[in-house]
Amino acid sequence: MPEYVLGHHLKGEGKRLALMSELLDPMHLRYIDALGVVRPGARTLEVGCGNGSISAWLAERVSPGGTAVAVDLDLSLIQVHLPNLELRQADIVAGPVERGTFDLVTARAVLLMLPMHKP
Amino acid sequence: MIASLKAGGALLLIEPDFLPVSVAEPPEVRAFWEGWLAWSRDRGIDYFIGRTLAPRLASLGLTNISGTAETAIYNGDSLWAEYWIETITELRGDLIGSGKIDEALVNNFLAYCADSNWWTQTIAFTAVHGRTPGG
Repeated sequence: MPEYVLGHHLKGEGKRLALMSELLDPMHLRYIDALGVVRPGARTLEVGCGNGSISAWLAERVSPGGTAVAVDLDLSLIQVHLPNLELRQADIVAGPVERGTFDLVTARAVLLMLPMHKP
Repeated sequence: MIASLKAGGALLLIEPDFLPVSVAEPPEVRAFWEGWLAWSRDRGIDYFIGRTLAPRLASLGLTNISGTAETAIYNGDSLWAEYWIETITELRGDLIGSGKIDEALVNNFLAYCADSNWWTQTIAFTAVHGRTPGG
């Protein structure tokens, strides 16, 4: 399993992720909203979910009937738990989470860390 | 990620592009970022990936591709400055140990991050989206 340059085990990583959420979530959510695919019943996938703030928002927006899947190498900093939020520890480079099942796939500040950058 | 989408599903990627640091002021801050980028290349991090997203999605068969980049303009003692203080403090040993940045550059940069009269911009966050064919 690959590792982050700034691993989730580092003392300040929770605070750094919280700052990133505060600074970048408004932009991220605005773009998601504009796509018009996140609605009740939809399935969404966030790759590299960090502290889970975006996936938590997605889980609320796809309810009822939808599911938000959040994937990360390390789920230890996830602070939110919702009935339709599925947390999965996985390495996206190893292959697709599920083939052909999601209405939205999103990632933020993830590909820059991957050796081959293939979406 | 594309393989996980339904037909007609949407992919949204937001990745950094450090273009703005090429004009960062003052020169010692620009020198800090030059060292940061040299360190990141050694660590396999691509801080210029933002500009590559749209052509990559096109080459992988997505349609309706478009995007924009947004750059925060911030001052010392702001949330962005706090983010960088946290990050540089966490990485300080690795940065200096790499030989790409020295103590003086780090200390100067951290001092600017604490100075509310210093204004700057660092990352163009590039948001690109596209759709899988069909749907």
